[in-house]
Amino acid sequence: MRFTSTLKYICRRLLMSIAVLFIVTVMIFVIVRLSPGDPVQSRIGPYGDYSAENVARIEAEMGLDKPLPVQYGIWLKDCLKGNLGVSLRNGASVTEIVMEKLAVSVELIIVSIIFAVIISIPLGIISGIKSGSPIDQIASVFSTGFLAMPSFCTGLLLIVVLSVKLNILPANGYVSFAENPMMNIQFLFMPALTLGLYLIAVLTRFVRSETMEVATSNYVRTARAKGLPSSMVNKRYILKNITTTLVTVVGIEFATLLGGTVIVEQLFGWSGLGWYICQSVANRDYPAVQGSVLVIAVAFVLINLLMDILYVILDPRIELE
Amino acid sequence: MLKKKSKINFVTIFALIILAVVILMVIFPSLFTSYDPLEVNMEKKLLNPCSEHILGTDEYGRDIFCRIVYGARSSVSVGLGTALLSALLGVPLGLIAGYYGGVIDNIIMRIMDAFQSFPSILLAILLSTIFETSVFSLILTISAVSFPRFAKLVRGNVLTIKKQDYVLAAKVAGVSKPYILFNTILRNCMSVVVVQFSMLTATAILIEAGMSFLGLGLKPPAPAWGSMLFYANKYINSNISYILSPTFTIFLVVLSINLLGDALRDLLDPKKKN
Amino acid sequence: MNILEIKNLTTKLSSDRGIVTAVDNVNLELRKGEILGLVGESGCGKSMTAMSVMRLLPKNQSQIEGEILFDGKDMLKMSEKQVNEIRGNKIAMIFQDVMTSLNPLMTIGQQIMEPMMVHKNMGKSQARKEAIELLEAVGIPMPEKRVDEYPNSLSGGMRQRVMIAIALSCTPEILIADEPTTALDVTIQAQILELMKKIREKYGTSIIMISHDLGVISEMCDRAAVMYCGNIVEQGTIDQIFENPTHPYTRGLLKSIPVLDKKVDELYSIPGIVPPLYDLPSGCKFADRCLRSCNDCTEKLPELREIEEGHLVRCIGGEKVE
Repeated sequence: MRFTSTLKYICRRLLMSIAVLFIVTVMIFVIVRLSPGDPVQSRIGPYGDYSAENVARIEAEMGLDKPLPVQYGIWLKDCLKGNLGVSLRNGASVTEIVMEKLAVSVELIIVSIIFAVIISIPLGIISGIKSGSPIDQIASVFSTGFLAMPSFCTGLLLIVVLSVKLNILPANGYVSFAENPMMNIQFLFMPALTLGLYLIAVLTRFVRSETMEVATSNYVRTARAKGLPSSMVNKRYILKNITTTLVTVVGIEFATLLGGTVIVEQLFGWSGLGWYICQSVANRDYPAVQGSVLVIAVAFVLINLLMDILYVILDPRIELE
Repeated sequence: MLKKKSKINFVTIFALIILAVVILMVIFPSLFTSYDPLEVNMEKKLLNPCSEHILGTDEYGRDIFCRIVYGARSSVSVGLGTALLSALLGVPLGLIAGYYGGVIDNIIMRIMDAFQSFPSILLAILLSTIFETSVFSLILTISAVSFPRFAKLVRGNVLTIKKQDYVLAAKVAGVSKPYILFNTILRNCMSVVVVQFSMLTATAILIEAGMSFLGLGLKPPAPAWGSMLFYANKYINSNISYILSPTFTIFLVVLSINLLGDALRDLLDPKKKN
Repeated sequence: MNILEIKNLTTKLSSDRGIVTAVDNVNLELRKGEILGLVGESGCGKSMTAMSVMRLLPKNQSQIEGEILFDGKDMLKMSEKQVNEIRGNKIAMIFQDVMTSLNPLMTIGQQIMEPMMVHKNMGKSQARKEAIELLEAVGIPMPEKRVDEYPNSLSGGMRQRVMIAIALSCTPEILIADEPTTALDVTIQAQILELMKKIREKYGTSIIMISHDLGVISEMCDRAAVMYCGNIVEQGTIDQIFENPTHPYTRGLLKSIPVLDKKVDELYSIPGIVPPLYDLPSGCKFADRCLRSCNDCTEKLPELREIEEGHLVRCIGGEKVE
């Protein structure tokens, strides 16, 4: 019974996600079309051939002469085939660039998340169980502070201290891990720490409040009334009951950071997807912007879908309407 | 030992003082500084903090403290404007979606989902390509990113409230639907709306700063905290106070608003108190 | 023989309105094999007494004074570890909130097995066998199947049975039941109460039955204590309490029970409201609502007086009436 209702729920969530994705594609298409700047002009370049035939030829080639809904349809069809068009900058395949940059971003995000999870889970649980204790108060000051701290603030402070004053790390740049692992880690350190500190703040706060909720729940009271040692209560009751929500929160945090790292990537010259989008916006390279944003939004919707499904599978409590 | 739980702590008072100062800066900037935020003096450029210029000067010799004071106006207008516009858009949508449910709810919520499928800074960047930058365009852009949060929050609240006995009682008594919706239900949503409003003001200031930092903020020479960051970034080696001043200002203001929001939440919703 | 003695128990809690005394100088003893009732309106301190005995109140928000002697040893002086050896093993407790008192992420079996594995060092397969037997004993059909299910597939009544099975798993000497039937339907209530009576007969368990429902108390208990605002106001055998109620509060409670074969126009209710714990009157806490209070009542909290053997009353006007 549980199984069929879960299946039904998944199907419904799937349909909803498809609807959302459809709206997302329309939004991206409309925004990019509304943006000023002439793609034909970008394509031809400042010194190219601006004769009427040439402009008309390029318009036709780019499909710009067709009505908007048709243009949208063509774009969508190409996207579904995995073809995100070509960059106006250098004619390279957007799909290829985006995938390459995505990997660069993912490296940064995963390192930050691992760092944050390792610190925030124990910290949050201790703070939640011993709320009001000195460690809880320190953790709470820390979280409140870093939640208000914009990433560029943290980043700039790190640069000021570690690069400008102490001169022990390069302020910005990127080298791939395959090329030079040592350099890659050196460049990675500050952006990962910047994101990590913010994530620690978010996750510690979350884990703390979840822990407090679970720790004051009736079933934990039952567990204590059973005379279970507190280590067992903490592990089997508290940790277990916050894990499901924690997994989904981390997943969604990951999805939000895809593309949400624009500022950090820009600040540290970490040439991931966020950095690439900034460049493309500045260059008015619309296919590149369109493609990258689409990939990010699709990833976001899919990860969310996955997390929701995971949640109902992991947690027998969830009521499925 | 047992202690009495206190309701107002000094942290909240600290936040209130900071915010009061910021509001004064917005209304009477000349109370704080005798300099002109636009006055260029190339002989005094990039000075480190000194008795004459407590936070130093920027690359045009303008007093940094003065520009921080006058910059409060644009940041605060963007922050409050965004919160207001988002509330005006999001609250009715949330009310309608939550109360009517069914297809209407589904359509509204899927559109909200779509808006939320982009990291907010990314959508803001995208939208900013459409408009010429101004305080108004920033408000519009950041609101587009934030109003779905309002809608979702209010909707969630409506779903719980509409099952409450007093709403059922109103229905049984034959009170009209719009009246129930905009009076009975909205009133009971107000506490979350107020808290969200304050939180959103902070978020909007952060997003604005972030966009400005990327060069998508207000154009010079008007003073704005975010834009100061963008230009100061180049002079990080010569005058650290130039970049640290707006950084800390933004941090302090956002921190204070968040603290105030937490205090409001505790005050308005005693159940969620931890 | 007394298996549990509560002496001068005072429990203070911190709240938004300052420190409140939830349990005020309570003395109780529980005899072997008896069912002792604790009666009173919500907030009168009956649950807090139980929570204090079990040492389940959060340490940083509560302060407990007095003595709780179990087998002659003071539980309030024990370390957390020593308390854990008693809780769930020698003294078990079941709660009112049946829907939320079981861990939603663990199977019923796991939750019943835990105390046996911890306290009795029982192996997994043995504990599982016992768990199935316990489920059967508390009247859950198809125990072999239920043992692997999660709590959310059970009804409230079934969950309370599981709670009872957990409580019984180590055959405790004392079972504290905090409003065990309040959240359940009337028919289920009767079944659960019947079950608890059987348990007493079968294992000789002493039970503390906490309830606001005088019907439940009169049906189940041998003795009862009536609580009001943290104080015990009357204590005695069930016959003493129900046949010869002496404290005005007890009388009021009894008077407000509807009687089936008597038609009345209006149900009796005690005038006034229970004062909040942070704003208790000095003297007798019931004086404001009492029809026969005098000046002496508001001056000093009356002592508990024994008016007949085993029948204690906290009222200065005790005998004068009627």
